[in-house]
Amino acid sequence: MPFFRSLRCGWLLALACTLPALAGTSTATRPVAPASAQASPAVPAAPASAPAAGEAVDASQRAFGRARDKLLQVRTLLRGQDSQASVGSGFLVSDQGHLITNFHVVSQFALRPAQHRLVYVTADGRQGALQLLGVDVVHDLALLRVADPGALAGRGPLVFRPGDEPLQRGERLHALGHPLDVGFAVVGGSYNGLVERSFLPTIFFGGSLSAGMSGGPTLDERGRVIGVNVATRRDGEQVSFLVPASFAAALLERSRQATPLLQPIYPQLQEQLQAHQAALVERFLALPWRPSGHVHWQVPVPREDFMRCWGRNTAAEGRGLQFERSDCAMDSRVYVSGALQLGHLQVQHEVYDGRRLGVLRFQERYSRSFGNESFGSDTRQQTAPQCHERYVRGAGAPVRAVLCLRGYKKLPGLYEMSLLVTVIEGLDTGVQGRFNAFGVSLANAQRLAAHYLGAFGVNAPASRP
Amino acid sequence: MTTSADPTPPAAQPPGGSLQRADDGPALHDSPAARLGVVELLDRDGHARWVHPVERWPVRIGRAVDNDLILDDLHVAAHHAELAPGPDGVVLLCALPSLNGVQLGRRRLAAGDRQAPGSQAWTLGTTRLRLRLAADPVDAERALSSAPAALHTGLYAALLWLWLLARHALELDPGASFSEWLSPLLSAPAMVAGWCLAWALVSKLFLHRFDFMPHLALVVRMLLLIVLVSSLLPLLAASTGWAWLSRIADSVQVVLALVLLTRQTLLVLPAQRRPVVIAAGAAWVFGSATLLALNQQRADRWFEELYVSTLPLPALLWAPVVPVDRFVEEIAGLEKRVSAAVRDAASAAQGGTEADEE
Repeated sequence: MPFFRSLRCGWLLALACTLPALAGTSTATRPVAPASAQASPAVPAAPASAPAAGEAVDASQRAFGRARDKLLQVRTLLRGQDSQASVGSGFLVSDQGHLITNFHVVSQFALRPAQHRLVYVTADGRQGALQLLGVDVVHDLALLRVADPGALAGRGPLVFRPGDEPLQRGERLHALGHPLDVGFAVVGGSYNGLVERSFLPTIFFGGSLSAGMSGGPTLDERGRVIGVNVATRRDGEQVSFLVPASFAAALLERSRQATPLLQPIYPQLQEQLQAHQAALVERFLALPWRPSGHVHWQVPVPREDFMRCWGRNTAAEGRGLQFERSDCAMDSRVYVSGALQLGHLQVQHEVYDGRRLGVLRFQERYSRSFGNESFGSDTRQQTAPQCHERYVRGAGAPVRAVLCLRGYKKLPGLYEMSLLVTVIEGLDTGVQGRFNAFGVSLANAQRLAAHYLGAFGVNAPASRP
Repeated sequence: MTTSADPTPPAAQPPGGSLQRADDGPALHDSPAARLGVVELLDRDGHARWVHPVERWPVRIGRAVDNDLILDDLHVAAHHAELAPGPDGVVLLCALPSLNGVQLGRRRLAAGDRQAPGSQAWTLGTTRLRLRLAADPVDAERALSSAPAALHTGLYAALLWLWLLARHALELDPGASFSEWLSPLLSAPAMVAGWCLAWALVSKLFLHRFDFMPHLALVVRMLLLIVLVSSLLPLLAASTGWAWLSRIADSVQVVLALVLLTRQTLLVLPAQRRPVVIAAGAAWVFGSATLLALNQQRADRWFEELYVSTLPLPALLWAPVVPVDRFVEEIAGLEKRVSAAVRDAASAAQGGTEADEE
C-alpha cells in the first residue's frame, strides 16, 4: 500500500479529515500575519454589510458586553522565563472562580506541570494564577480555578443553556475568545447541527474560529453557553467545531471540589482513554462490515456511521499494476499532545489487478506492496513495534497476517495495533488490507484483529466471474 | 659483492666466487655433492634471488670482504652474523656486534644471541636471508595455479547477467522503452569488469602478474551465489513460514560478500593466508556485533527486518495455516515485550526531566 504512499499524501492533504487543533503554540509567532490582514481592505467592508446585519451586530454587542467580565485569556507560561508556551481562552462557570477551557490549551501544563504555570488575563487587564482541577481529555475540556477566588469575585458565571432547549439549525451564535493573542473578540456564526459521521458529538459552527479562541465560549442569543470553541478546518471557510456544553457542565459537576492537580495527569488520561477505547470498540464491533462491492474478494469495509471512507483508483489505460484503494478513518481523535493523538481507528485496503502484467511481474509488485508497509519506530511517545506473523485461515483462502503492537510510553495498558493482511490466492490479482487501532487495550486489539481477519478472504468460488 | 634488495641483478659475477645467481650455473669451487646447504637471499616477494652454497661451517656474513657471504647493504655491519652448528648439531644463527642486530621472526637477536633459524627467514639490515640445509625436506612440486576454464567463467558470467536482466524485466512494466534496459545491459558488466580490473592492478603490484581472469572467475561465481541467495531465501521463508530464513538473508549476503573479498585478497597475497582470514573473521564478528547491538537499541529486535516482506505463490504455500482464534491468542505474546519497553521508558524518564511533546 504505501507502495503508493506519495500519491496518497497529496490526496490526504487536499481532503484532510483531521481536526487541526487550535493549539496556542503557534500563536506566539502568528500575530504578525493577522496584523497585516487587519490593514487590508477587509476592514471597511464591515460597515458596508452593516445595514443587512444591523440586528446581528447589536446581538453580538450584547453578547460580548454581557460576557466580557467572564471571559479570560488562559496562558501557559514556561516556569523559568515567563514567556508564553501556549495561549487560549476560557470562561467563568461559577462564583468560586471555576473556569472551563480546552484540554489542548493547558496540555503542556497538564503533562509537565513542573516546567509550566497557568495564568489568566481578563479583558480589563487583570492577571492571576490558575489551578488545574480536572480534565475530560476525550472531549478536549479542562476545568481550572482561579488560585485567588477573591480576585474575580462578583463577576458571576456564564450559564449553560439547558439540555431541554435543543438548538435549531441556523440559530445565531456568538463565539468569544482571544484569537491569535491579538485581543478579545466576538465572532458571529450559526448553528449547523452536529458534525455528521463523528464518533464524538461535535457541533458544526458556521463561523470563523482562529487559533487562540480555543476554550472560549460560544453563546446563544440569550448569552447562554451552548458549546466550547475547539477546532476549525483550515481547508474550508467558516467550518468550525464546538464541544457541546453538556460535557463542560458534566466536567464542572464532577471536578468542582477536586484538589488541584500538581503531578503529570497521565493516570487520569489513562483512565479516560481506557473508557473511551472500550466504548469505541464496543460500538465498532457491534456494526457489521459493509459489502466491499467486489465479486471475488471478501474485504472488510467499515460502515460509515462514525468513519469516512475515500476511494481512489489507477487510470484505466495504465500499462502497470491496476488497483483500487479505500481509506476509511475517523474524524474524532483524542488530542493528548501535538505529537500524540489516539483513540481512533483506520481501515484501508487495496485491490490489485495485475492481468496486464502477467503472473511473475504481478507477484513481484504484490510482494513489494506488502513489504513496504511502515509500522513506526521507537519515538519519544511510543515504543518500537513488536510483530507477530502467520498464515491464517481467512474466509475461503489463506491470508498472510502481520500484527504489530506499539506501546504508549506514558500510557501503559494502551496499544497501537496495526494489522496487515493479504490474501494468498490469486496468481495475477490480489487484495491487501490494513487495520490500525490507536490507543486500545490488548484484549480489544485481539477482538478487533479477530473481527477483521474473519472477514478477509474470498467469496465462494462459484461466484467468480 | 652484490646483494641487497635491489631488484636489478648485477651482470658481473661476484669476486668472492661463492655467491651465485639462482639461474646461473655452479660457481668454481662448488660441487653439488659437497653442499651442506644454501643461504638464500630473498627479494621483496619472498623469492630467492641469490643462492649461496654452503660447503663448510661457519658461514660468516657481513659487509667486509673476508666474510663468506658478503652483503651490499649499508645497514649491515662489517661482520654481522654467523651460521654454525651448535653442540647438538643444529645450525644456529649467531648475531655478532652490530648496530641493527638480527631480526629472526619476531625476535631481535642482540650481539652474542644464538638461535636456530630453522626454515624461517631472517633479516640483517634490510636484507632478508633464509637457510636451507641439504637434509631439509623439499616441498613437493605444486601445480601451476591456473584460473578456472574461461569457458566456465563465461558461462557463469552469462548466467549472472541473465539473472540480473530477468530481475530487471520483472520490475519493468510491459512495453518498457529500450533506455530503461540500459542500466542492467551495460552498467552491470561494466561494474564487474571494472572491479576485476582494479583487483588485477593490485595483483600486478604484489605478484607482478595481471590476474584479471582469476578474479573474474571468482567474482562471477560468488556474485551469482549472492543474487541467488538474496532472491531464494526470502521466497523459501515465505513458502515455509520460517521467518528466520528471511531475517538472515541480509547477513548471509554480507558473509558471502566478505568471503568474496577474502578470497580475492588471498589471490593477491597468497602467502598471508592466516592474517587475511583472521582479519576477515574479526571484521565479520565486530561488524555483526555492532549491527546487532544497534538494532537492539534502536528497534528492540536483533534483525533489521520487521516481518517477512515476500509473499509466496499460492501453489508454493507449505507453511501451516492456523485458525484466526489461534493467531489472535498468540498476539498476547507480544504484550510482554511491549510492556517491558514501556517500563524501560518509564524508568529512563524518571532518571531526568524530559524534553517532551511538540
